[in-house]
Amino acid sequence: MEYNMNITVAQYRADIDGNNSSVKATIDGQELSVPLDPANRHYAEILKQVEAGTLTIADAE
Amino acid sequence: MTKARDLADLGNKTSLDEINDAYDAGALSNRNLIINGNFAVTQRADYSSSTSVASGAYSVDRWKANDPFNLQRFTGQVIDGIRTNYVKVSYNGTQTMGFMQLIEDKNYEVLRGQTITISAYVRTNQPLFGFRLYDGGQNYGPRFVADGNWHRATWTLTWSPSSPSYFQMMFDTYQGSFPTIGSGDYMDIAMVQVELGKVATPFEHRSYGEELAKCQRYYYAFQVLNGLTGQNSFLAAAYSANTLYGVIDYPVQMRSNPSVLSGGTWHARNGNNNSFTLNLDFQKSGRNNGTVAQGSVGSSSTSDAFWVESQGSTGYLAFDAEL
Repeated sequence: MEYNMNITVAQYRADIDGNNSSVKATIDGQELSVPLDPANRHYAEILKQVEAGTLTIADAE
Repeated sequence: MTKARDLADLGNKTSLDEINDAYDAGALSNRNLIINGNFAVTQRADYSSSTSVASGAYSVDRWKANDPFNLQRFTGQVIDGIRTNYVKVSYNGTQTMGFMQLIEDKNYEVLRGQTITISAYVRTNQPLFGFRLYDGGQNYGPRFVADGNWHRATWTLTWSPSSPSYFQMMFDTYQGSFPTIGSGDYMDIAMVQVELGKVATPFEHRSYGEELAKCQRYYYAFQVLNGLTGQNSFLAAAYSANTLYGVIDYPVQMRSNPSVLSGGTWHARNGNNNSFTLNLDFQKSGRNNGTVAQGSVGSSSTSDAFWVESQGSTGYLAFDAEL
């Protein structure tokens, strides 16, 4: 069966220079800091769900 | 015969005896593309009791649930005269269960268009369980002997020379559809191997350190719940009031920039001892190390230096670059 991660929260985090450096996300019930690397499976899934229109990444505070 | 002669002649060998001779001489080391095929490495937990593993989750290092199961690991067992470990993968209330390892493209390139052999020791009571290889398309292997005794199952196939973008080696029931399994169904699995060639050679035992390093390319447990890795610390400095930054090096280069999973009670120590809940973000992330940021640390002023240590049993910190 195809497995899709359950992502309930996603928000960019900024580095000390004000650039987005990661996404804070709750994935399958675990809170993770996810780097902006398409080879990272969590970020790849975030991009996939954003593309599908099922997830929005909130701006960094 | 010399090792050099064995290596030179390897391509001409066809019988198992000849290949075993070469194996005994050390000519066939590093042939197993499966990592942690003997379940020696368990960075996430020790799985000494049966543990539920959700669909998509990892369990013993490198091994993932394609479909959910319960998993228990047994160490120091003798199977076919060989002392090793095995895992019991068992029914946990859902219709299916699948236990698999994904092989990285940098490693499976060598298999394209080649004859490969998959082997494992399996003990099961359910005749629907068998091998499966997903490579973008489905390849169904033989079902396992389901008499409750250990058997070495093997599957030789020629792998597609083009197009596959995945190499997922699985133990499950799927052969076009998922037949229903039930309470009490299990697979005990040991000594899993994927190798080039049409003969299943003896399982390749690697040192624990070598196997751990291979696993840490995909997952690095800096600190595990309940102190299974001891009490670990990292250095950090306050960039601004109440916010610390530290650099954590990874023991091997990771497959991708990893995600970080952190939590539990940690302490930032210098002249003070500030207790806080670890909740790291990345300032910068690479494959060799990560610069992590931690807010909400009381009594810290710009430029203060700290060591950050886990105390008790609740602290955890891990980096995940799994496939």
